[in-house]
Amino acid sequence: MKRGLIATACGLLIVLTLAVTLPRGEAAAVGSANLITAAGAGVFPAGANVLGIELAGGTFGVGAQSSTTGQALGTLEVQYNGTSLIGLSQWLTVNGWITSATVNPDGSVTLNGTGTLDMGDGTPPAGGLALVATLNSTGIAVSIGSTTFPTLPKSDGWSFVE
Amino acid sequence: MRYALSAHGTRTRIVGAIAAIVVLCFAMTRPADIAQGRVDPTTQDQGQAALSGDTVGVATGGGTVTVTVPISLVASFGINGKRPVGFTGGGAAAGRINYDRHANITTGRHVNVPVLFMTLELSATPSPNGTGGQGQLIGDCTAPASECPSNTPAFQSVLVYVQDNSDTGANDVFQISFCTGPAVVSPLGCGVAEGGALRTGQIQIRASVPGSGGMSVPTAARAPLRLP
Repeated sequence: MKRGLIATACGLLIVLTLAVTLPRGEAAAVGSANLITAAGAGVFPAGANVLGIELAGGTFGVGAQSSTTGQALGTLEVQYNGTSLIGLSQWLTVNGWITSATVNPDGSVTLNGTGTLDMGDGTPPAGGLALVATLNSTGIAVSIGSTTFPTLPKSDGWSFVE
Repeated sequence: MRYALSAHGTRTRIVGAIAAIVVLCFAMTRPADIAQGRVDPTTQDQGQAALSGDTVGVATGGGTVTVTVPISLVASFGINGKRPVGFTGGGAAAGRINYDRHANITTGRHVNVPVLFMTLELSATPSPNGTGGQGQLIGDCTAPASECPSNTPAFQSVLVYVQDNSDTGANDVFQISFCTGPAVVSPLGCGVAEGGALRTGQIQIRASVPGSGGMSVPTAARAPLRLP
């Protein structure tokens, strides 16, 4: 009787220990994953601007991996170059951690995460901002915090969703 | 008295056995990265010696680097590397390397290759977001629809070396070199690497669950400031 109780207690202890200490990923559903890879550059059409800064073009680099659960990991970096209100060259940089991704029916991919925005005007970068980016074969659209950049057309480089 | 001593001994043995089982369970279920080596960014050569084709993890990154040879220019990159489902060792990987030199040159600006092999070293003391380490990605220039700079003899593979030294991308490293040898774990005939410390962007190297094909370890939802 006593040995039976001890054996039961030990069994329960083992099960509980395994449940508590295994990484969360073990229990997560893992299906086919998508790789989102891109590196390129583009030129804005005349008139493109953000926050009063006239945008000329930009470059981007993306490396992210997603699962069928929508969870993702990876990074996104986009740098825009433009001209400030007083005519000075200004480079705006978005740097983000990707935490979820959705591949859309049209083949584009929507990336979500958290990022920093460096306005390139000497002010400290703002971090911890909500980041949403949509990448397709023709360009990349980025919204970070309350700032929405016009879609950067891709005139050079590669964007791959596979 | 004799009975009391015997009962006390039995209880002690039971408690000891339970404690041993608990310790054993914890030891068996901790992630393997805990036991792996810390990357010292100041000793790259020593670190590369620790790269392993058997380490299970993923590498992602995006950003820019400055290239100075043959001309000074900025290049963008995007990388992905992960272990295939059913991976048992030997360096096999899936992923892609995109690299784009931004310069007014007519040829050799693009790299677009699938990743066939990867070696990794995971940091034993990862960042708060669970990343850190270094890795090499080997891409195949001979794959259909791939693109590499032209050369005589033709480049058959691309070797990318990356370091993840911080959550902000500061001190992270991206280097790329082109090889005349085919894509293997250690390609031959590789030229001088270009790139170096990141100009913008970041590298992420992290552990993943064996057999998952890569994606599994959650990313903390934060991105620290990258200050100069």
